Amino acid sequence: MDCKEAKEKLSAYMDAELDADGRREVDGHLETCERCSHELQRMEAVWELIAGVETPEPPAHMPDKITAGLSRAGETAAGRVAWRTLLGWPMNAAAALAVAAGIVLGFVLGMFFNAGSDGQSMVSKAPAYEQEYTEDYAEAFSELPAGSPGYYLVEFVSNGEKKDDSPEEDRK
Amino acid sequence: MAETKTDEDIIAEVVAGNTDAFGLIVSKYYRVVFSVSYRYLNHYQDAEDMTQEVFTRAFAKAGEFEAYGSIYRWLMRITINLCINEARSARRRLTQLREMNDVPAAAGEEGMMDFQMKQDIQKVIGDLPSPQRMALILSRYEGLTYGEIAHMMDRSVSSVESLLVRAKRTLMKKLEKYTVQH
Repeated sequence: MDCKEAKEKLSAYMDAELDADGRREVDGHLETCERCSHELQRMEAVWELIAGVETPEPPAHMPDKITAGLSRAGETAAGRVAWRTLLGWPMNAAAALAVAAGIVLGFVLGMFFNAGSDGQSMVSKAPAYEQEYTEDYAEAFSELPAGSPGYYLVEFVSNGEKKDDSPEEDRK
Repeated sequence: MAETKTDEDIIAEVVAGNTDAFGLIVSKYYRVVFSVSYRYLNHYQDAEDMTQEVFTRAFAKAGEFEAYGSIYRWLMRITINLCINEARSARRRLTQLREMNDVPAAAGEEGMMDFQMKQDIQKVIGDLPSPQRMALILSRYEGLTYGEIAHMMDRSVSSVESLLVRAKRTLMKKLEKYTVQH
């Protein structure tokens, strides 16, 4: 073993991390090499030196503060879970309702506008019905907010007349 | 006679929903977590904050400790990861700058020299690259083997050995004036 190899192993040698063969090799080198022996002594001295630096004691109340923080974190986490659950229900229900509404709407629109066996749609062959139905629709959905799907349905069925329900002073 | 619970029993209770049981883990290990954090971060308040963060993280992931075989190793792993991440942040650089400028009240010449030596040692250790610093702390102050350090730092044993070789060479070079006297 040369000095270069020995120096690489001195740290592990000092820490008793070498296997028996490795330890024997370093031992043998140190017996004959003053430079590496001196290097080992320097390493041991600095290792001993830094051991003298103690850490301050943590605050005595630290365990209580930590567990209190865990409780707060748990409450916050529980609160987040509660909100997710709360929001999850209506959101999931809303998604289901939206799908159902879409199916119904598609069915209704299909009934109105698809040609029947006689080539005419319900809308085109029943103007009186349409008028009555439109009026019923308009009455039933008169409270619909502008921009909602129902609003546009009424708008479409009532021949595209757009109701301007903005405040009078804001209208053009 | 009071029943003595093992750490594993306590964690099992925590995982099962008995969060109060985690307080026993905190009481048992907060000192060592604080010590490692302090040595690494070199700042009392930061070490306090880090200790809180370690246990908060451990509490949230109580079911994962089994992979580490012991509560101690598991907590050390969390401490190491959080400390190293903290060291990378810009905030740490500001804190270190602040720490270096702190001057304690004078305590007599001998006291000041002793204090100066300790400050120099802490500075030299604090200036080590993050992995070297952590390996040094775990080896010197926690007495862990290279294998244990390797497992906690997610490195090979030879990598840990190299880290310690370099760390020790830096210490020898920068603290030489103190080792001559000792």
